[in-house]
Amino acid sequence: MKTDKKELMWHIPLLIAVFIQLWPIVFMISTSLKDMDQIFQATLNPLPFPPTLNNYTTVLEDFPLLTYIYNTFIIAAGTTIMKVVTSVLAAFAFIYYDFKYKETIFNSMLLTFFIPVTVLIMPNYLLMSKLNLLNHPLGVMLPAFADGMGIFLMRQTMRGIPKALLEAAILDGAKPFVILRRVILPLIKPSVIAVAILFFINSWNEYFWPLLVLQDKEMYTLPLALQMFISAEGGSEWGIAMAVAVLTSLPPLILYVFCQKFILNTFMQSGVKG
Amino acid sequence: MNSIVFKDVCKSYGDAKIVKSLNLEIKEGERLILLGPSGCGKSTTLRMIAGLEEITSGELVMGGRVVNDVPPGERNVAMVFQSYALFPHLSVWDNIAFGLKIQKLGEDEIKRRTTEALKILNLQGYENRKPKDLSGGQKQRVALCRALVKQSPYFLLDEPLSNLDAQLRQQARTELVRIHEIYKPTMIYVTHDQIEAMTVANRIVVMRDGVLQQAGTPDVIYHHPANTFVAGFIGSPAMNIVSGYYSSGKLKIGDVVSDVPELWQKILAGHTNVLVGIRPEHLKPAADGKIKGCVSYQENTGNQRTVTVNVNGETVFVTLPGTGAEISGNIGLDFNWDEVSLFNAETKENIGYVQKGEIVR
Repeated sequence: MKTDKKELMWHIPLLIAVFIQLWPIVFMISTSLKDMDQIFQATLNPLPFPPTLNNYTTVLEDFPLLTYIYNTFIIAAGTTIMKVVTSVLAAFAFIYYDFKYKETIFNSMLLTFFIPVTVLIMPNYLLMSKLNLLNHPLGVMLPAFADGMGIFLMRQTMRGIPKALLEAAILDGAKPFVILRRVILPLIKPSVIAVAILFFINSWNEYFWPLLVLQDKEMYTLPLALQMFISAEGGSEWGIAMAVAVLTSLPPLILYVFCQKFILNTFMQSGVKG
Repeated sequence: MNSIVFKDVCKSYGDAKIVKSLNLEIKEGERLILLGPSGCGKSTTLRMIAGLEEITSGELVMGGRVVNDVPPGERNVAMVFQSYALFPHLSVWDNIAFGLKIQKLGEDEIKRRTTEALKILNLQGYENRKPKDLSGGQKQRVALCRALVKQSPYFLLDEPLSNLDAQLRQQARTELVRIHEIYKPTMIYVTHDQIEAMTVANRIVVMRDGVLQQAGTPDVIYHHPANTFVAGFIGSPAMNIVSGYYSSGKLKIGDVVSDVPELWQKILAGHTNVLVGIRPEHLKPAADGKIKGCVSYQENTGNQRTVTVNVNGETVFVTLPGTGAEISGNIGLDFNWDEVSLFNAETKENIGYVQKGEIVR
């Protein structure tokens, strides 16, 4: 394939952007494979020489990694399941039923996209405190059980289903939940999976909210545990911190690589058919 | 008792009136075609029967019961959609059996009915295919199968053949009539295709702008249209409509004055300006004809010639056999009074015709 000079010009800023995006990841991986001396002598050198797995062994031996993975997984999975359920049900209501102020309700739900997370932290924190859910995984999950973006994406996908399909099922005497389960869900399965993966990854990487809610170290999620190594508490164990970081980002990364196609499709659909 | 009666039924969306005061009785076992141009309210009428559209005012009676507030699933209707509406994730078999499973019929009954429907529509061997692996004609037949297995007393079809090519359409028409003959459901069929209407219907209902124009057998609709709209909508080329002037037993079309037979004088009594409707195949070239005009164009399709004649500024089509003497220049055209439709020039309504020596108005 030939690329003419004009096009090549455009590739330069893009390549810079790619480098900026990838550099932290490269840095993370290479630092996790260096011993302490190398880290301080050749901080920016991306090639560890000789590479060492000591950091990983330390992490796996001295660090309750499995507990953190378990904590993170429970919160991420619980949040994901509940978010998917609420998104699908709400979207179905917007598609299937005609009710007063439907558009107004939908539009005000879209407005929630524009409320910064920081604004919600205070009321959410107070609410969790009143519910006695501070320092409990449920306190991390509860505020994330419903999500405007999820409802929006599910509604857009459902809108792509021809109305005649639903009408055919209605004429056959199918009740709304039967239609949802036997007609709509099988048709939008790829999008549901994509949205679920996005929710899962987001929840897995969540740092700020769990930091506020969870106090006991045994309850920490991976991103919180990671912070122990780079804060004043944990000192400056860069190699170990990076090894934990690699292990933390691995599951979402693998998930994304395998399901990239679903995710891109869902976003493309929401644009084209919206 | 599976008749359908519309009593003063109206349907509107906000200020837009889609169906205006419809009164119609559809008899049990009848094949009724709703015919009209797009936007005439025919699909809306069908969807009101299915319950997919609410009725704004009036009463809809199905099988002796007012169904205005009966939900679609409880009306026991089977419907074939224009887009076929096959479930893409289900196989042909599961598509057909879907409704029966919802109705919680027994396993054996579902199997029996589905197998029978597949056999009637020649779809054996396709049971496990997905809709995307079928041709247009096969999808259409699966859609028919799905409606058929329900064995509903009402069979609704919304332009079921419009996505097929011309050849398949003819086959499918025959198939539809055959299927109807097996179960004799009350069948309501929406189309804008007049050939489909003429060939499939026991009775045709022509609609325009939400108003019923005429309901009658294909024969009556064709030969005695109720108004100039129906006259122009049915037939290809359409019925010729020329202006005439009637006075004391004589009719003047263009410059030609001719005598009107006694029976037709009775029909025309009290009218002066009339519209004379004559089918193209009912006009014959004749030197002393009742109409005179000038040939402007000829089209020969092999079995038939369509001659365009200019009569005092009005265009008249004449269809003649494909072979025969060439005609050109100024010609005379004659017609038989039995085959003429007469319309009021202002209201455009049919003012009456003669049948078996009797005047019908």
